[in-house]
Amino acid sequence: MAERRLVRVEVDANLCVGSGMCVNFNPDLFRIQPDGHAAYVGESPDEHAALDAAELCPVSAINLIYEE
Amino acid sequence: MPVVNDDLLDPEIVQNPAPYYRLLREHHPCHWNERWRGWVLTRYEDVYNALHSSQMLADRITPYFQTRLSEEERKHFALTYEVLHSFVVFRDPPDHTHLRRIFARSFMPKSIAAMRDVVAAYVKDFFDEWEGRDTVDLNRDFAYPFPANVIASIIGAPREDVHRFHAWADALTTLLLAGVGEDQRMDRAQNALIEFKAYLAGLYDERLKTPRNDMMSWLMEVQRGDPTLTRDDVLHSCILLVNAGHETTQDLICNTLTTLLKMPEQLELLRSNPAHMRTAIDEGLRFNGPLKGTMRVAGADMTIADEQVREGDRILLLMGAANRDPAKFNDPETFDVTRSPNPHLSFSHGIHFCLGAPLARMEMEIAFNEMLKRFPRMHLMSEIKWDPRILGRSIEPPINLRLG
Repeated sequence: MAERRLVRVEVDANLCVGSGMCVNFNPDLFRIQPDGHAAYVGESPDEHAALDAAELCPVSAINLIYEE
Repeated sequence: MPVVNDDLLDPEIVQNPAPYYRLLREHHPCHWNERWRGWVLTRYEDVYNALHSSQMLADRITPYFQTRLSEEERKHFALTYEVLHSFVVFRDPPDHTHLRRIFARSFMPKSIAAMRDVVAAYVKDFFDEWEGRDTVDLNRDFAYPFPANVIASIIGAPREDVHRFHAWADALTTLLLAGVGEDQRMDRAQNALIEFKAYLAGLYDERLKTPRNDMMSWLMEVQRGDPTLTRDDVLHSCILLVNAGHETTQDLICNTLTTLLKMPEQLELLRSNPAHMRTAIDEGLRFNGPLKGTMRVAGADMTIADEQVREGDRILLLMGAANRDPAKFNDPETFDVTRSPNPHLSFSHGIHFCLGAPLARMEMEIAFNEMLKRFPRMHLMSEIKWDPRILGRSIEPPINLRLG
């Protein structure tokens, strides 16, 4: 299977409850926004950290978007 | 402007809170309740912002002990303070952040999914026992023992000890969720904590020699890698887990099922379309969630809805009222199993968002799918009477169902 390239890390604002678990474990990559939702703020998509955050999220709001 | 009734345990408000919530939302969004001696917030936006605000402190244990108890009482209840103060739900950052990290990996959706078979086996056992009976008590014959068994399995306690958890959890819940008419509730809670902790210490010591595949062992594993975590942190965390995983799920089952049984067309819609189960569970949480409210303490002077709130003031956040705010939900007084999105606040929001939410959702989904399939003609025999509680929303037992 060909390696897929991660292009983006998204936090679904409809699902995010601002638990801050992603920020808690990866403070450089995720940040809570003024509206209470988390956002990915890393300069480039970090696949390892994003997968970890996606697993830890209590409401599964973090999506990894790969190149088609 | 209508006068606000400050008796939060007025039978009329307890039995049907919706009109009271509406009055507060529309005319007194930040209301000083003289009797409760604190502010009451009811609008979705205000409750949401409070849950997300770092100025709203979750530690209401320390102020309570400092201002409400005499020095002698403080000494007498030192153990209660020590245990409650170590609960992650009553802590603020940075301690909260640290404590919550301990639980994070054991409660992530993937770890919870691994317990699916255990949960399904319990559900099957209980409903096998229902077969052939005309009537059951939803509470006694399922809603109480089911989550208690699940959480005991998760922690690693033997099944035959589960009944002991009940009295302990009940004593603590009465203290925390403001049960009324009980003068001895602090003594009862402290005695329960002493026994509970001694019991868990036994499980802990067994696992020092022989770790197992259960949450007590996982927490001990985290503890080995983190010198700041003490044995007490692990034991107290288990007490919190039992308590939090116990009565809230019990109430969620009872409140949601009885609501559905009173709306045959909604129940039928769900039975014929099990794909709606996820949204139905969230609607149960929104409509009659196990917690009407939660408490915070103002960490600074602030203005909320034009009222001056002072540092140290108590604030009651009524999620039950926020969940029915027409500014956020269309047709909020209608129970709709297909409602989506449903951003209710019943699991709280922000850093204290319910750690057990994935577990509660899974328990509900498995139990309701099985129950609706196996007992299609079940109906309610008891009249619903809500318990007089300020924070909790639970139905007085028994809840008799006729199965045939």
